[in-house]
Amino acid sequence: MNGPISVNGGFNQEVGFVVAFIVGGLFGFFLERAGFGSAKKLTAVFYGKDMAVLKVMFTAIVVAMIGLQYLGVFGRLDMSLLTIPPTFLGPQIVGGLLFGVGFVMGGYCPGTAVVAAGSGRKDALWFIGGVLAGIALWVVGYPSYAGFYKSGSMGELTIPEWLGKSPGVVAFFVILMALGAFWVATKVEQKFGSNDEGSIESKGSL
Amino acid sequence: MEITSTKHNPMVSPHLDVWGWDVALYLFFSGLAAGVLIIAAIQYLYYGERKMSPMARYAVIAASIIVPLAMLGLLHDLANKANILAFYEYWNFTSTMAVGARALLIIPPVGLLFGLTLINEGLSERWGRLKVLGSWLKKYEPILARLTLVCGLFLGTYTGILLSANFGRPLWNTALLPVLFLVSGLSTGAAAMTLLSKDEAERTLLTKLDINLIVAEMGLLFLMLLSFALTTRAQHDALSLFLGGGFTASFWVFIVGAGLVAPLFLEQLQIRGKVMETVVPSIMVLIGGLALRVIIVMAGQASMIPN
Amino acid sequence: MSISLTHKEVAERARDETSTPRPYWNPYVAGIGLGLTLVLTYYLMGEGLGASGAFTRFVAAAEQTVAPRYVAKDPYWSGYLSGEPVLKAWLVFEVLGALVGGVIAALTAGRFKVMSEHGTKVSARQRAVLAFAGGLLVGVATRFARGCTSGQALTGGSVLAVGSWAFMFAVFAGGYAAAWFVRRQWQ
Repeated sequence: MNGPISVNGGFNQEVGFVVAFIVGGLFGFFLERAGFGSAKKLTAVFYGKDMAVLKVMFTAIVVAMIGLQYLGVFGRLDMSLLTIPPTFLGPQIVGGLLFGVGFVMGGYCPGTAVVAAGSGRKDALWFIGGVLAGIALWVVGYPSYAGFYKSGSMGELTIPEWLGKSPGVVAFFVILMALGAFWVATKVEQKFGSNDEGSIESKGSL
Repeated sequence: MEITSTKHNPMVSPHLDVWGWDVALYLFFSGLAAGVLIIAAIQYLYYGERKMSPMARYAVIAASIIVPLAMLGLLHDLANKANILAFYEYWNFTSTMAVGARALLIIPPVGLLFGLTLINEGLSERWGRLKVLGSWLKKYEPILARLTLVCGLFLGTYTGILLSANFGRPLWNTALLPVLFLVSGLSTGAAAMTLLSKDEAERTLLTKLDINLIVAEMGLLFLMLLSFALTTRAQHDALSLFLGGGFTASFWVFIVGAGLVAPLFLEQLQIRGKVMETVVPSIMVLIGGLALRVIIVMAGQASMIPN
Repeated sequence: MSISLTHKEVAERARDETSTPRPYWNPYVAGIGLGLTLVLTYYLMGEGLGASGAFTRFVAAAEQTVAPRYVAKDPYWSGYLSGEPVLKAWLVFEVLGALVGGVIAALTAGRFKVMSEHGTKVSARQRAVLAFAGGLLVGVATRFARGCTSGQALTGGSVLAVGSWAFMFAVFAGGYAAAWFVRRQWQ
């Protein structure tokens, strides 16, 4: 059967939840193996010491982008049925800036905090508590920024549609950009990097 | 008020939703207590008293106290008269249930007396008469151990019988359910004792025991699903609740995935020295045991004989 | 099942094998693993990975339990929630899976340790305060941005969504701008 399997009736919502648990397990496993269960490793990207976050992130995006386009071109996956995050430019830029500040302060992002909590990190539990409280607070204040939240709606807009280029051309430039970023990241690491990768003993207190 | 468990009772059919979290918690804690009593009694009879750790001794007393507490837990809201009525509904369910409920009253004193003889040596003089009673009972200790074993087996099986005696509920009405609950109770009991144990050798032994119990539980679950697939249409429908129906996700995620497969994998690695010892597998087993009770109680009420 | 090790051998072996955490994977290898997971997710489900959506549902479920009438009337919650139980959602099960996957990965790599991560110049309590404050900002940010690094940057990035790329660059900009002010935390 061609994908997406669940949308094409391969299984119902309940079975989908079991699938969610399994792919979530893979997600958490790879995040931990990448070192994303460690706040020090995650925030090191902002100090140029260890650019793993950037490398992992761009590698994952490039691999997924190529994989999805490959499946689409060969007719194995109906790209028009994929859920694409809708664009609301203003709220997303403001949210991104706030997110970045919270990230370097709190040490995690929501997904990595779950993995870190699973690795026994107590600070990750505090972070998760903060996220939950932040969401609750935001909802309380929602009426005052509901207008801004809904502003700048551009629908499920993709870069190829926006630029009027083919997805393959955009993918090519994304790959070039990623390769450039990897090269810069490696240079930055050589300049600011430390060699204590993998050792957590020296990095924390009980 | 007497309620019958067949389809003639409007409370039972079409929707029986008088049983909720409170019943599931009662079944979970009773099963856990039964598991602890059985493991401790076998430890005593098989390895001898001297090999028993202080944790195992006090666990017998704790388990004996949990049994009546869990039962009282069903009466969690005494101010609400309707709940007291509900309590009688549960216990006068059928006459066998009433007999069973009375038999349960024997378990706490037997367990407490056995526990008292086990901790008697370490008991300070301050406890006066209890210590005297304990030393007098010492010579009956082997008998008390056997009685405790019987009580534990009865309690562990009874939590399943309570459900399986409902003829109108195809998911519950299987002879495998009491055995499944007994084995699951033993597994949660072993996990709870592992969490409390301060002795490395004892924890290793309990973990090895738990590995075998989890394997047995997986086998029983498989047999139960298989028997549903091979018998009546009603039980076939009950099976489909877990294979695409409304309880698919909770069954495979919480009972099978996080409650059996993951802890089995981690305990296997732990016992071979491949991963460090943590509380993680024990907690997973406890969550899985609770999930088993909750999901079987809830799904059973959605399962019924088709018209 | 043959288990022939004594508890002492098990304990010794565990100490040998788990005293030093194994090194992290090469970032490109881990990235390929994550990318393929995302392809599999899209292929099976038609949607990508996420995390903050599950957190939002946990908050909604908690508020629904405490104050059901307030939640039903609230302009944001009422738009966000459909008739299904709040926690019966794809992202909730995915995040539970991530927790279990993370625990197993940390244990099998010898990295599971109950501790708080920070530099030597701050105490565990200061770290807890910063973690909570940072979490608070991130929580607010995920609602403005309609997602986080998983749902926007990773998932949206791979399907080339315009807003997701804007979000990702904004995250790096915000992080680099604020990094200097909290540097003591990690030193």
